[in-house]
Amino acid sequence: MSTVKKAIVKGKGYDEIVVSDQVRSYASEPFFVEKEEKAKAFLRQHPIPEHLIKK
Amino acid sequence: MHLDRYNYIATNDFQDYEFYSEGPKGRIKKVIRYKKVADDPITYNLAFGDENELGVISDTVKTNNDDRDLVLTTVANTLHTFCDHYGNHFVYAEGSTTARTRLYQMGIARLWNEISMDFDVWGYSEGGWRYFEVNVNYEAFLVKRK
Repeated sequence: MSTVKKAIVKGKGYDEIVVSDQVRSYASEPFFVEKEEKAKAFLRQHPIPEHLIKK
Repeated sequence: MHLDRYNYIATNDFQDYEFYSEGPKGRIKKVIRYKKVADDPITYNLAFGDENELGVISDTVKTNNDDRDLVLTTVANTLHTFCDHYGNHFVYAEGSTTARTRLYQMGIARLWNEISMDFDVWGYSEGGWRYFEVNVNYEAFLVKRK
């Protein structure tokens, strides 16, 4: 009988990240397209100020 | 960051990430996407949500899986991975609703000691972008790795 291990990495942030063909690209996913359009609109309306860019 | 997080996997262009939240509500697939939304300055959008078994993604469902900090830490770690491949640019994020944005704000505040070691964070409030402060409500966030 197989054991299901909880996939938590304990206290480390820089482990090698697995790249997988099983992860599909969400580039054309309407959920994300809508979020990206919303972000563009917000940033056009509220641009990042120069002092943050030069920081 | 040295906080516990979920393991995650990425597409080979490091723009899309997946991991599973595990808790009392079961195993919930979380998906994250980074996409460039501005060139000057270069700014990426960070969006994430839950993907159900039909492949439908949503960020309006309240998961209640008792792992909000684990999820936030995992998202922050994907930001590290993304920056490793794309550079330390501005990353924009906002919640789907005011309440959701407030949840993100509270999450950042809880983990601020860790997050602020690696990232500069600004929030948009009262007509301007300001450096993140705990207990201030923001409409949106900008993050940049130090």
